[in-house]
Amino acid sequence: MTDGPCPALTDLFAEPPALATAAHAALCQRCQALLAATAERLPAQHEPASAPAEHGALLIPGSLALIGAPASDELLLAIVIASGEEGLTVVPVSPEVALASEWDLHIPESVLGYSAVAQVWNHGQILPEQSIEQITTLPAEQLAAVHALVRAANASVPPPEGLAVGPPVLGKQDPRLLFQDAETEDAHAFWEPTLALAGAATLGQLIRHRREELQLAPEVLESASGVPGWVQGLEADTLSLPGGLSPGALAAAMRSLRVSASSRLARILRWTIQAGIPAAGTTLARSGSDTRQDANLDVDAYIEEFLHELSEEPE
Amino acid sequence: MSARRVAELRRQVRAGELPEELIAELRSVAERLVRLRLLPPSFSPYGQWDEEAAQEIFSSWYTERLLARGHLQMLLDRAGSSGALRSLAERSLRQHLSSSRERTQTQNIYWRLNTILQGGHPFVLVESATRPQDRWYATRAGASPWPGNDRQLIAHGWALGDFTVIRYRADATKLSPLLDSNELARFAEGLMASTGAALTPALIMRVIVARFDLHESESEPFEEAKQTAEVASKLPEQLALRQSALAILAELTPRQVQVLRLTPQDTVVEIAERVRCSTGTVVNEQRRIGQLIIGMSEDDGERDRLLNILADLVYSSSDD
Repeated sequence: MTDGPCPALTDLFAEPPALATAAHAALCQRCQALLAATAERLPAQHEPASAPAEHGALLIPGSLALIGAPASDELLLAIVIASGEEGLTVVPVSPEVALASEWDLHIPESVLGYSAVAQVWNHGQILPEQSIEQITTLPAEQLAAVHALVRAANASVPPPEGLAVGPPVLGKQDPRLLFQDAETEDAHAFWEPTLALAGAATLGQLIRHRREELQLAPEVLESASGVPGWVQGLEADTLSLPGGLSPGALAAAMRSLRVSASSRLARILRWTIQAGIPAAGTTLARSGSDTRQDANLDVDAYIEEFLHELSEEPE
Repeated sequence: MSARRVAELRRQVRAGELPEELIAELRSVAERLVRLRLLPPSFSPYGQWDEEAAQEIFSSWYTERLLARGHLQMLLDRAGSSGALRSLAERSLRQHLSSSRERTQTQNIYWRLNTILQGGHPFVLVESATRPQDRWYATRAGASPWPGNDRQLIAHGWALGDFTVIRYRADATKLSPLLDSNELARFAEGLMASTGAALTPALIMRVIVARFDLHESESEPFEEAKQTAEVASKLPEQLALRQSALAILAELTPRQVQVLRLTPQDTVVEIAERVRCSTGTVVNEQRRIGQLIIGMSEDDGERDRLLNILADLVYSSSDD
């Protein structure tokens, strides 16, 4: 079983398939069934490797922007409604106008080039680094309407009168609830980078929370990083950084935990390093010169290199 | 095509350009889905898939949906890579073919709705009018005409729950209405009961148009029209069913396939444990799968045969 989305059918049937597609198909019953049932194959298609997107567009409330997520190659179009230290609060925008409820605000075609709705019921939080591109800015009156609807939703009161919203949901039998259920699940991939960092004050806490959530044994992280025996020490705050682990090894472990590079992660790493707690004998065994060199590593340089490694596409 | 190129295309289309490379990519998506036989045969304008049919569906998809409704921009807005662009384009093409068929049903539904309302029990005429679309009907004598607005009435239409929408059938040799007469009568009766008011055919049609997303026909006057025959499939029935089953499989998610495989032998609780989700999610997934299969079936017999073929496809491909 695979948790990831299925590739396009044309990619699934490409000959030879891309490595990622083949790896997906090996675990996906749906794709295996499709491959087994159709004898016809398409000519080979070679595609250059995807270039990393230009992340980090500067967003402010009212920005209509494309949002990325590490686990998805589809983007989320969303309206930024608030920005804070912890991230940006956004409302997803959907083209499924026909399924609008009283908590979906119509966005006129003139704004995006197609009719859409702002799914106020589905709002969530993202990291600023997830922004890919700003498309446009929502007109002030539209943004005010989104805010009014969000306030009503948060206060659990009926939507304000006069807004361009869909017909209300009157009962549990309404099929739009099934659609909303699926949309909530799809949007979760975009909230995950923020949720992954939520509540963690140190790197040790972050790693322990994520390991428990993803049900990963310490050995999995140690194998990904290429360095044995460090997870327990870091989780117990007895392994000192930056000497205890190279930036590349830490980045590889973070990738396994599906944690992406962000300024918030950098802050957590800095707090962890500053908290210090260097315990003699707990740094990993290295040659004397290496250890001395590690101890002298500049914290800023360490963090910068770590983020750079984490931002790179894995080989 | 790299992710960077997809981003460039997004900006070019937003600036009003239509790059040849993008059109060629979209054309190839339509051609490949046809070549792979991953679209139901009844989607084809000529009852079978060939090069001419592929050209025709590409033209209608490109002009009516991608350009006229702005969905080309929408696809690019959502695509973070060329793979995602192709995947979104495939979904868009399937939706286009499905909804094109649904839109042609508006006149047919109006015509049958009038016949049902005029047919008596459980419907009674409470207030007559010259034009048929303005006559008020209810499920009890003495009911007052609906006093509310369209938005409220549409909400009542949604609250009636699931209806069997026939999207396309495996073997389109007979007429296949969007809603069969029993479902149409159930909808009208449910709407009158839910509102407690008398309704006109025009009001009921407004709800149907919104509830089943038939908006593109909204401006056409509702007049009595004769049903038009569909193009008959040229494929043998069993082959048509198999191609439809493959098309259903292509629309399912990996989790839905797992639920489909486990449903005959496991309880909902057991499925939830194995698939690692809540029981509510399992029930929702079963509902979605059911809607998809029923929507492609003419009757219960065809539904069961489709389900059997689908189960064979799923089981024979896996050693689990």
